[in-house]
Amino acid sequence: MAFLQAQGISKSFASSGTPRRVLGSVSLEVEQGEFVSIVGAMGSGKSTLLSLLAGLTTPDTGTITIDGEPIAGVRRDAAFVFQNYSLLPWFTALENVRLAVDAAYPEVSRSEQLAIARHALEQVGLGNALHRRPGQLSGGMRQRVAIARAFATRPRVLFLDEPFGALDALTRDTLQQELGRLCTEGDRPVTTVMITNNVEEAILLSDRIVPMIPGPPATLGAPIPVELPRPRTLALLAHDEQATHVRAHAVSTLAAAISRPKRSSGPPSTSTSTVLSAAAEEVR
Amino acid sequence: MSAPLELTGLTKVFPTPSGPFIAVKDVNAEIAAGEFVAILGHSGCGKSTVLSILAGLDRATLGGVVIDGREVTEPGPERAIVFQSPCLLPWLSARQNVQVAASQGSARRSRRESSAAAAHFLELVGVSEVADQLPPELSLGTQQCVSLARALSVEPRFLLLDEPFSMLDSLTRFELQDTLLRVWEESDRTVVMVTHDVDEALYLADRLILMTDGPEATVGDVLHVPFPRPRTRAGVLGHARYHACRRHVIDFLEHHAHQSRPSALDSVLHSAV
Repeated sequence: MAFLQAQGISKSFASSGTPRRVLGSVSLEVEQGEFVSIVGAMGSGKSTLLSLLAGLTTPDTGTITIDGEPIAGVRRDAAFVFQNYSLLPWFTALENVRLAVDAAYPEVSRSEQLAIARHALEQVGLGNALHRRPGQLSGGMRQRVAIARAFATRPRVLFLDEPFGALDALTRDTLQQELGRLCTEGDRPVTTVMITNNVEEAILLSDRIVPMIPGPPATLGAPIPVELPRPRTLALLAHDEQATHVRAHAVSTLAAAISRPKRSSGPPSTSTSTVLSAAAEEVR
Repeated sequence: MSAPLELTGLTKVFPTPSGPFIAVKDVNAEIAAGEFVAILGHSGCGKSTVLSILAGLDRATLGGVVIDGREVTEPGPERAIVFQSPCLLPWLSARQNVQVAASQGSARRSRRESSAAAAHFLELVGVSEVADQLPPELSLGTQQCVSLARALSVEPRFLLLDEPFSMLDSLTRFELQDTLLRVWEESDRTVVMVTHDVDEALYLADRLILMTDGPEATVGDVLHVPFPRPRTRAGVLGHARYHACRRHVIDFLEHHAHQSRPSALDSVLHSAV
């Protein structure tokens, strides 16, 4: 059995009276220590799926287990990084991280918690910004604090929700490579599920990429393995011939899997083409 | 017979408080009818300056742009441009935005003809179902599709694209690249596209003009893209020469883009500015 296993999960939201099915029957398996990215367009239901996997919301149907245990709320050995950093603005970087350590290890003494927090911040290059508040930090530095906070608790499973979406290209490149190193190196690689709409980012970081097929309801496509050696760098992806082939395969498979039938921003009506093809089936 | 679109010794100097700034120097290129050319370079290298001069929105300091033997001095309906941001009029529906352009295009159109043209071009880029929505109600990708429909509705001979997809996420970008490729392959238009996305350029263009870094940016290299048409993304990415082409462009951008070459124009320039 896989470390993280989701079996036939679906989710609907009631919007203006009629429930709208956002996620169809979705199944996903993530092995221990594996980095899996779910790639899909904006509004396709990626965040809904991540919330379900992380135990922030409950599915209408289906089961989710992590390490053999059914999900019931947020696990203590799980950590998150969100696009909007989600730091407490009145605390310093150090206090923000220590708070997470306290939540995960309340039995540890305060001074020890501070030491863990300091070490985590040093790991992401923020050793000289420990006592600054989020408002005094750049976007990239805030996201580093959020990453330090996630890793400070030594999580077994990590959920990343568009972690680099709000950053400029240069900062994004650096942080992606650093995150990849933190996730996959060391004595115990963390099991990671990331959602993103950035294909390059998914290729750089993932062991497998799962395309999210737009709906509604959205479903998951066949996983695409990214068989590239680690540590990976953007330079490797740019220059290595094998990497070009792996990348080319991933990009064309993804592009083919995720082609949206509609671009309307309004709630899509029942798909006429589905109705028509169903009718055509009956005629035959 | 010369090419229908020529850049000859195109040079742009901006006056600044600290003296003249040579942004672009001695850019030469000939673009054939129906060709898809991508101008590639680092940001700030003057790609957009070249495109603005092509569009007639700006004038070259020396040299210039020649279309069918005539110098370009102002915007005209034979050239339509799509910018990085959609630039739609927010108080008009998608259809009305296109209609305004269609009525001012190369072909003189009545109100009814403009309306029909708007419907046609919105359909062509696949957004006819949002024709009556206002731009702020549409996603950025859809707005950019409308912007492309608007440019096409002028029925231009030359379609000028200034990083049209760089604000979009990668999946929406794929979708719009496919739309553009399909529309272009079914027409006989000439396209000049400014981009910094190597894969985008290789997927779409016949020829890449690689620009060196500014100041004094100029044409550093030209690459003929060998992939057969009609193209598919899988076909291009799986092509035996894809890696070599990509590598060539990336190497240029990493190692050669900052080496500007001495030019015969140097002496002329320094006496001119």
